[in-house]
Amino acid sequence: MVKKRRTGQAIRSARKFYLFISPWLVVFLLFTIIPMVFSLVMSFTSAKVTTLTTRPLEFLGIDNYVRMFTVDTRFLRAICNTLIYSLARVFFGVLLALLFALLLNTKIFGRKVFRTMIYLPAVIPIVGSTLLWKLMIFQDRNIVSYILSLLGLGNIDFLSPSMALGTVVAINIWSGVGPSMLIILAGLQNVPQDLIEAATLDGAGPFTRFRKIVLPMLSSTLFFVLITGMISAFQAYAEVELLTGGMSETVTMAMLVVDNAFALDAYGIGYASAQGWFIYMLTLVFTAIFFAVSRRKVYYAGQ
Amino acid sequence: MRGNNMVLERLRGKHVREQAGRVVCFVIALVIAVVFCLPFVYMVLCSFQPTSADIFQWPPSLIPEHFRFENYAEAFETMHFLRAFGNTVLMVVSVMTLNIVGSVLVAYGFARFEARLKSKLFGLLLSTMMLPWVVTMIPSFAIYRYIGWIGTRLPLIVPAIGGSAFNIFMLRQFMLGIPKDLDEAAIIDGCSSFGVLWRILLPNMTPVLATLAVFQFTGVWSDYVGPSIYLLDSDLHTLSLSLYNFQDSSGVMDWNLVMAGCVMFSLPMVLVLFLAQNAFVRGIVSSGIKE
Repeated sequence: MVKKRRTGQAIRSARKFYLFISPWLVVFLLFTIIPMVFSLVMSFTSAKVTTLTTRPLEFLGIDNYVRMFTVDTRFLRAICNTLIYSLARVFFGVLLALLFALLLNTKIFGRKVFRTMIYLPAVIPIVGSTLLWKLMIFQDRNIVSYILSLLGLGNIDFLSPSMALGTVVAINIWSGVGPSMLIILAGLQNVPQDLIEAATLDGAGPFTRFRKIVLPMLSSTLFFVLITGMISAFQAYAEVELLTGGMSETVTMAMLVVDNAFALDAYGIGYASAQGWFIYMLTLVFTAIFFAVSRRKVYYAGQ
Repeated sequence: MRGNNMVLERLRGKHVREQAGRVVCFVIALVIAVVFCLPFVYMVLCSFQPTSADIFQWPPSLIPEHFRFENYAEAFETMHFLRAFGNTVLMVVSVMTLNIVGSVLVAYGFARFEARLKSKLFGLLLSTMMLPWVVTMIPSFAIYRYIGWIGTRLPLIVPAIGGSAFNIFMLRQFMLGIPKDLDEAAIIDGCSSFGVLWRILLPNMTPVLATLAVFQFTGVWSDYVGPSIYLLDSDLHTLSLSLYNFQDSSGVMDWNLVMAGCVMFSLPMVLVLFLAQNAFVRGIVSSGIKE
């Protein structure tokens, strides 16, 4: 009797569970799962936008995946660019965010205002900030080169082949450092103050305290910032396309997927799908590596 | 006595050193904060320059000789501001409402009910955060074209009802922190499951809802990629697209007008940042929470 009532309750609970999550479940099936299956199937074919409905799909096996790494030198370039861009943006971005957070975690006057000011670039819409930087560094006689000339640094062409990728990274750090800084700042505030005081009494200097207490306590936060930054950097599109679209020095993987999907003379959506799946695989591999490393290095409170 | 004096002396020395350190930190923080804001200040200054050529004087004069407010009127005209603003507001309101309603419902399901597949489905939900948008973009486009939604706002609005993984995760975390006893008391008093959500949970969740609303607002307001794929008709263009086209259409750019457009586009976000500082900080802070 008791058992029967419990299962009845369980069934009712399950029914309500599915009822409440149904909005997500339906959208997920229609606009994520079905497109994913389609995209995976298409990635093995010669599908093109122009002939999708008129010509039957030709099955190519893994040709699309082979072409990415052999014939298509532009995509090889994009892989390199994206990896360099992601590593540089995430590494320097998180490093700066950490330094700023440590600075604003001291009891200085006006820290809340500084916090908001450093966050400001993050709320400027991407089209607005892109146009602003195009004015500030890409025009002749721009303001940044004037400032550099005052510092005696001469004329720097920020769009030259050797500089372009670095420029894109720097601008994206400018706009992205605020959110990471706030997350790290929150993590710093969770570091128990008594631990730090105890270490100070034992004679630990600021560097030892940072290395032995703050950094381990902060590792889960840093891990979170690194991994979310990495995932989004792998998919970099608008922030690069709007700034330096069309330059092979800065072309990213996602930009080529969009090119191949929608440009009429491109390889087509079959190939673009294969490239998309490659980005996904790369993301999964990097995430797996991150998690494997974190299991050894990251400290979670309560473990 | 001498010993006491020496201790006092040392303490004073430490105090002075601490104060000096604080001043140095303050100066460094001030410089960094100002450097981060300068580009925006420059944008505002340029938007008042009488002509585009005034921006490119050498040496540059940062402060305009006279502030030309007509720039704003002209940019307003050129970028069809009113239409684009209306379109953007429409997108923001509809996407924000649908997304938050959907996310709340789904989060409630995950927070308060049991089913055999629950933890697997939750893992699946979180794993969608890793899925690059370019993977689903092409077939989704094909699906939308098949059902005739290309060139309308529907592809950007309708899927919002499913919520988003990040919002669902945050709302679920928040709901888990609200004691279940409250629900049970309400159920005994005859409240339905939906009533529990509406009367017990939601009134306790205003901070997190405000945060998500602010994030959603800034995200949709600034979005460029979505509208650029689906809003082909210029009657539907949002501010992102109209500002971008503004710079494209004129071969020679009137940078003072472009910057006026940028200011009009960015200012609401900057105001939101300063007015809703707490919502921003809280949201960012809780987004760092892991299980």
